[in-house]
Amino acid sequence: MDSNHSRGSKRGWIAGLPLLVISAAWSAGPTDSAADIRAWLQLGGGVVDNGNGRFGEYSHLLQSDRLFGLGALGIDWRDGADPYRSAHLSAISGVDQLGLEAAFSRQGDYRIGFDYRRTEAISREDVSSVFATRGSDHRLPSDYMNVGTAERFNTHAGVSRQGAGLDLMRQLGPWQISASLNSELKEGSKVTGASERFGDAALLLAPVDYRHDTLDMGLGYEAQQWLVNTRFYHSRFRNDQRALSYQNPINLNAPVRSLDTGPDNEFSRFSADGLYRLSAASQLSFYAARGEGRQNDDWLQPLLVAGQPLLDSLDARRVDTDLRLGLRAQLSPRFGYRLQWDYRDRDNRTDVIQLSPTSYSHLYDSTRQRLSLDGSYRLPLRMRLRGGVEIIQMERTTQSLQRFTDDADDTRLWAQLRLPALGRLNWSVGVETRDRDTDLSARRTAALNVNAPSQAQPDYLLAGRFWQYELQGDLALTETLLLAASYRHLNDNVDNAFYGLHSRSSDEVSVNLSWQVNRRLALSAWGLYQDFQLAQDGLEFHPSAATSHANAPWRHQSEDSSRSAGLNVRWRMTPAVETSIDYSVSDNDSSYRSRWLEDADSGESAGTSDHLPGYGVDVQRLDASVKWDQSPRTQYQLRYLYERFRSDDWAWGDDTFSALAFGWNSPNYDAHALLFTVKYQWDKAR
Amino acid sequence: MVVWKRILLVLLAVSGLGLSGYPILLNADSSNCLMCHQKEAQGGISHRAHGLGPDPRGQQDTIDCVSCHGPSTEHASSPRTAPSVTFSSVDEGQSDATCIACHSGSAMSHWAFSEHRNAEVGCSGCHSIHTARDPVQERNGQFEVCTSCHQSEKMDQLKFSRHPMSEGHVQCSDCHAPHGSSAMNGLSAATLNDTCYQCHAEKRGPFLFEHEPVQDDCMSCHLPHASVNDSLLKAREPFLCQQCHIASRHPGTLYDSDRLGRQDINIIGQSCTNCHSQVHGGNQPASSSFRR
Repeated sequence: MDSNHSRGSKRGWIAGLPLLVISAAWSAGPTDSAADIRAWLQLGGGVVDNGNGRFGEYSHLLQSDRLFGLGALGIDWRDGADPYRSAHLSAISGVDQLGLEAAFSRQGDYRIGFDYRRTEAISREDVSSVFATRGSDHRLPSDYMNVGTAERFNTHAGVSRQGAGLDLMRQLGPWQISASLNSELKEGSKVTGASERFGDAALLLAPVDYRHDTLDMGLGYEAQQWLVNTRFYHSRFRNDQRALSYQNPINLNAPVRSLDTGPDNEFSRFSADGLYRLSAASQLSFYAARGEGRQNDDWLQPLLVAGQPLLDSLDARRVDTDLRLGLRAQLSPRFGYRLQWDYRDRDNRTDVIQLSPTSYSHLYDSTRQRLSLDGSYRLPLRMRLRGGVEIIQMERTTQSLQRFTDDADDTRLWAQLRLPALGRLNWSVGVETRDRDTDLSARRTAALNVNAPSQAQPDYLLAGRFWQYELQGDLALTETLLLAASYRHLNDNVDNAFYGLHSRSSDEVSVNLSWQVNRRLALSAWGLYQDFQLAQDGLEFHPSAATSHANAPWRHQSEDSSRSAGLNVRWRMTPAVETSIDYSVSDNDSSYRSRWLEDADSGESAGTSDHLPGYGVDVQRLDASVKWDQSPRTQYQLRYLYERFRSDDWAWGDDTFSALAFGWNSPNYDAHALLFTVKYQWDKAR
Repeated sequence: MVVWKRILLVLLAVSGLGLSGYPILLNADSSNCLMCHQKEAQGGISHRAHGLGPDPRGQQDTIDCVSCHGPSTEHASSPRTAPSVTFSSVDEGQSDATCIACHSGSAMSHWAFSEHRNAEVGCSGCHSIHTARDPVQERNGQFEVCTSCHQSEKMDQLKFSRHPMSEGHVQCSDCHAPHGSSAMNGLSAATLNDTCYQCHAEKRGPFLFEHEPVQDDCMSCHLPHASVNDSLLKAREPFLCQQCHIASRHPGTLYDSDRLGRQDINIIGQSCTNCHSQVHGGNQPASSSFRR
């Protein structure tokens, strides 16, 4: 589809649909002049310094160093004679966000709603590339010699999103009809690998131009004792950027390559769900669905690799089937239970294709059944016991050169007990255990049980036992001072006879202190600590290389820890002036420890290895504001935002540039913003 | 859980947002209630359908204080006495039954099976009934309400890689159905992967070359809320990949800092995905090894 045409039609959407909603509200018309109307207008501005966020895929609102305006308006209308009938219109224009919402509804009768939202690209600036041009054509400058001496061009990577949706609902007696139409566009660029044989891997800024449209329609019927909903869901994904050409900056002899940037797909699902009320305290529920996904090769230029046949079709098709049944019953005020059964079948209808005498396409089927029973029993002294059992059987079939099936059975038991209060202390304990038993195919076992395992061993195929313990409590120190804390420990011990995951554990502690000093001042402080530890084994399979550790086993241990704390203050200084302060700080670290093993079973070390440096991110955030209600209608707000980001990362940096033709400079930043707004609100209540 | 709810109530009450989850009422003439409960009157209950209007469904004459809180005649004469119906706990299943008497239908069809209901979190644990707007239904208000109990997810927003929830770009209810669903873990879509595909449709496939753990469960490699690693990964590459891939074609190399000095492309940049960038699956011959 032509992108410009796509954008033009989208703008038509955005302009037209709110008008549709408003005209629907207008044509319905107010039935009573004593309508309840509430409206507000907020205007203001601010200044931001160094707001370029590099905080994950998306970032904070602040994007650049500049002055900016802020605006928001909204109207809520409710019919005086019929308070179930209402309309809402609001718009917001922030630093990086533009939003519009409109809705007209009568609760339990009809609704028409529209929503539009645009989020600007989150820029990862200080990115260097050797390519003089970008977008879908990555060409080297004419005087380019090699990556070591190349001129660097600063660029940025980020994806903006904009989406619009229209939803409709109509209730006709016991029938309910609904429809929802949504469209989302993602535009920008992302860092991606473009290997051309493994030795010449380069990173590129691949353009992102995705469009995702969904349609969700439903028809429901509700009677006295039962309810049924049927739905049709359709999803269509289009990648309007189909190819990316680039010159390999590592291998200058290689021709300009054309790479695909991802396939289109479509998915449809019919489903039905509902419930039957057996009595006032018990009900049955069900869910059944059949989904079909398709993908065709329209997006891909036929690709010929030397020695490989031209493929007639790159289409793919898959069918998913879901069934669920549930029963819930409250047998007495003290005892209730839930029983559920799930079945899911993932059936790949794509034919296996052969690429070479030893290379085939790789397809995957699975069938999963789950049975769970849990209950709750109230004991004297406010004690409560909850517990349950869950059994999951999973059968996974791989279709490739050979077809083989691996089975895994999980049994999970859990219990939580709320104990009697000890004075002002309320507390509860919980425990959970899960056993996994696996039956691996001969094909997988044979591929694993050699010195050079050629078959992967996913952790869901590892037998073992997994434990979790939990302790929660809260203590009212005084009438106004409350202390709450929790601790959770998880431990996974896998029974891995080969290499790969060895063990996994985590600890989490949280503490929260809340103090209501008086009616005007409230303080709360919180802290949270998380620690994840992971150990895995490997084998330096390298019999022909001149290495000091040929065929030697090794053990690697990773530890990720996070420490966060925060302080919240709410202080109503006078009846008209309120101050709030939210401050949080977080320290996240990863460390890596490796060693050669003398004995893989005992973990006894055969020598040391040079560990990788640690990796860490520190973040501080402050959000402070003062609000002054000059009158019931007029409010002034002054707000200050601060964000500090510090990161050290051994995987990204200027050194990366010379190896991958792409570099990431320091991501550290301090961002400040000062915002001022005036809000005027007007209401006319019934 | 109740503790966090109390903390939220305290903070929001003082901040003027007016989450008045505790009971109010007097007798059948609700205007009498508002003589004492002025905060509820000023807070905007009259802007909501709950506020003092006729009941078009014909179940009652009007929707007012006593519709939810009961006649509460003792409370009217002695304000320290609790109203007939309160909403601070769902221990006896009474408070959510009051709400569900009107708010039934398809959206609530799985409430009885929901994790919130099972954990004794009632309607008023999340919803603000007496205010003009309900923060949990606001794009920029939902995160604060949910994380008043789910503290770990609040902290997650300070990690390196995260879904942008604190800014309201992604909402908890985009993935979770707080009123219950037929899916596991209260997810809004049929499965975990279907939930992810709602936004990440390019990962849905089907592909000719499938990566089993990806198609099996997105959480084989990713954490749903946040991670200290890039791209919400559970562990850093190449170690994440080496948990399953021991020595298939590549040597099962132990990657240490010696490799950094040599600028080994297996460890810097995007590590394994420098080359195997199509880890989610592909449809061209090079995708047999998840390359482009």
